[in-house]
Amino acid sequence: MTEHLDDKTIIELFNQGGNDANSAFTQIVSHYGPALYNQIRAMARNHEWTNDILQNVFIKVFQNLPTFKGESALYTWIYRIARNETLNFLEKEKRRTGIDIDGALLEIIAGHDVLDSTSPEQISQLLQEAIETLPEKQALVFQLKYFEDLKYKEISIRLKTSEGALKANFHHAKQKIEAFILTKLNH
Amino acid sequence: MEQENNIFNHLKAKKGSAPNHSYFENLAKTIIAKEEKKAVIVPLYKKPVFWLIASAASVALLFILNTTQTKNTPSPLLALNEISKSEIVNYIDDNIEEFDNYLLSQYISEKLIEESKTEIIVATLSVDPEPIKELDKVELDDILDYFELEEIDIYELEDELYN
Repeated sequence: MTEHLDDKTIIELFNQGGNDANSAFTQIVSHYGPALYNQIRAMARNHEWTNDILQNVFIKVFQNLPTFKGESALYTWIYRIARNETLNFLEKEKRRTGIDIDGALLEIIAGHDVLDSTSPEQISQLLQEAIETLPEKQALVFQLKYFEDLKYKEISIRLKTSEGALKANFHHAKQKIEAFILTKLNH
Repeated sequence: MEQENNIFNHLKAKKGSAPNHSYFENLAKTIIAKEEKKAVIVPLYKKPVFWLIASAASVALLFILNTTQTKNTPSPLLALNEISKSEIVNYIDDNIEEFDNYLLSQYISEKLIEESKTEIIVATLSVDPEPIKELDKVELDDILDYFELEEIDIYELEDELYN
C-alpha cells in the first residue's frame, strides 16, 4: 500500500488532470473511504444506502475538488459533503420507503436503570438521531473517536485541529447525546 | 455515582464493518470512469474554452473588418494628395464653363434679391409724402376739382395752413 500524501500534495496532483488526477482521487477514496463509510453507515444504517450515498459523495468530491480552497482539512470538507448528502438522502428515503435497518450499532452493557429496559436497535436509532442534531465538528469528532476508535493524535492530523479542541468537542458531543437519549427514553 | 450513570459506560460501539480495500479501489474506478464519460459527452457550447475562443475570434474579425473598411474609404483630404496639381488644373479648364455658369447663376440670384429689396424700400418711401414736389406735377384744375369734390373751402384751408 502506498504512503498517504498530505492534503496539499493530493490537491496539486488532482489539479494536474489526467492520470495524476485519477491517482490522487483513488488515494482519497482509499484513505478516507473506510472511515467515511462507517460514519455514513452509522446514520444510514444499511449497506445499500451507505453504498449509494458514498458514491454520490465521492462524485461530488471529484467534481468540486478544484474549488476546494484548503480553508479546512480535506477530510473535514469531505465529511461536510457526506453529512449533507446523507441527511438529504435519508430525508427522501424515509418519506419513500421507511427505514430498513441492517443491525444495531451498539451493544448494551447491563446495569443502567434506563438502558436496561431498551433494545440495542432502539438505542442505535436514538444515537443516530442525536448525532444529526450535533454541530458538524462535534459530530465528526464523536464519530471518529467513538466508532472508529482513532487516537486524538490521529484525528488531530486528519482534521488539522489541536488535541485540546478535539477533547472538548468529544466531551460536549457525549453530553449532548446522553441528554438527548435520556430525554427521549424518559418521555 | 454520576460516572456510573453515564450511559456511555453501558454502551459499546460495534466495530465498524467497512468493506475491504478492493471495494474502495473499485468505487474510485467506477467514479473516474463515469466522470470521464461525462467529460466526453459535454456539448461543445457548454465548455468555457469554446466561448473564450469564439469571443477571441469575434474580436479579431471585428478588428480585421474595421481595418479593411478604413483602407477602402480614405479621407477626401488624403485622396487629394494622390492627385497631381496639373490634373486639377486640367479638370478646371475642361469644366470652366460649368463653373462660370454656376457662379453667374449664384451672382444673378443674389443680385435679384438685392433688387427686390430695393423695390420694397422704394415702395415704402413712396408712402412718405413730399407734398410740395408732388403738387408741382399736378394740374391746378385737378386740384380745384378735388377741392370741390371733397367740399373743401379754399379760404379755410389757407387760414389753417398759414395761421
